[in-house]
Amino acid sequence: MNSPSGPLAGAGTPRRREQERALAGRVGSWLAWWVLLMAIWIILDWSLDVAELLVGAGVAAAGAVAAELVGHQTGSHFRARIKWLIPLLRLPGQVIRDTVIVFAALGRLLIRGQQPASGFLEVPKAWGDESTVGVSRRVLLVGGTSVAPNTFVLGMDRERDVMVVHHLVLPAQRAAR
Amino acid sequence: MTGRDIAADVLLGLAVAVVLVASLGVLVMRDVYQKLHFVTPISLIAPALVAVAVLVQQGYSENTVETWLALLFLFVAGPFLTHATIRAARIRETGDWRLRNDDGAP
Amino acid sequence: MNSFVAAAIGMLLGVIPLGIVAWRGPVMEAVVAYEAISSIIVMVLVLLPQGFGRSAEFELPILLAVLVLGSGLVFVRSLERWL
Repeated sequence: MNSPSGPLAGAGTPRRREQERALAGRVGSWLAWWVLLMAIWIILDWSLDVAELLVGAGVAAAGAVAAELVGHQTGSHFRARIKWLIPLLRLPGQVIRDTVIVFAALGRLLIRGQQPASGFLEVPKAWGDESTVGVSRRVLLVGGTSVAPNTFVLGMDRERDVMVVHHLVLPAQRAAR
Repeated sequence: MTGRDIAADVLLGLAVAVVLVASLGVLVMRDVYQKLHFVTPISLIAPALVAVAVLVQQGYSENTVETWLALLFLFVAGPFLTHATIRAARIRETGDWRLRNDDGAP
Repeated sequence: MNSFVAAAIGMLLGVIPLGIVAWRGPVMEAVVAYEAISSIIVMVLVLLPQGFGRSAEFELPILLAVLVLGSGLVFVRSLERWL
């Protein structure tokens, strides 16, 4: 019912894409997992003793194999573009602004009994393609848009190229206030 | 009491205030969609304040790095969990998450 | 009692209204309260070792923070599809 249009839609035909995936891509993905898991090991263990680092390297390698195996089975890999990081710079300011908005809405409810004018909105947003980059873009769009407290993403509609979001205080109501 | 202690105390006080106000928001808001908007301050803003407070108090140390790691997992999990929750709530309510003609602003 | 322990106690007070929602509200609202409570508990588990100076106990909030995502997704997916 809902699966074809989620942010991971397109990840349902993994085997064909996996066969097309180059060995270098798989090795790169495994290496990225290994570095991430090794970093977590070092943080948790907080020791640069060689024996402990070797154990960590082995465990991280096994973990990276498991992660790559799951990625292979589900056909879900992550590939981002550097330019996608630029909007992230705006996120802290947006989070603070939205926090003020939702707390102000709570204040109005508690003091004046005024319900916030909340509701759903459709925001034009291209669905994109079903490549790894396209799926990663949708995942980041959904996650990034849902960070600030006043806005959550309900889903992205493939047929209509829109992103459905829920606002606690709708932008039009905010402008009118 | 040093400047570091005072800064950490202020940050911790802010974190507690954010948690208490947001908890009240979850209690008094009308429906699940509105309540969900008050989870983000608890899962994102208060942890950020706590992480900075630990850094200010302790500087770079094992405790600080482990604190940041724990709270980093919360930061990353929060938006996706929120998305999954609002989607589940909508599907339980209407059978599909997509908007119908009668949806929108109240 | 230092400020970290005091902050942990203050945050636990926030569990009371959330507990009421989890106890009295419909199932999806209870899940929302559960997610908020989980985040509070992660912070409390960070604040208490910091307040009591016990480094060894910092692994607990890391573990719980990882489980928050997993358990939350299991809840909402189950509620969305089967329950």
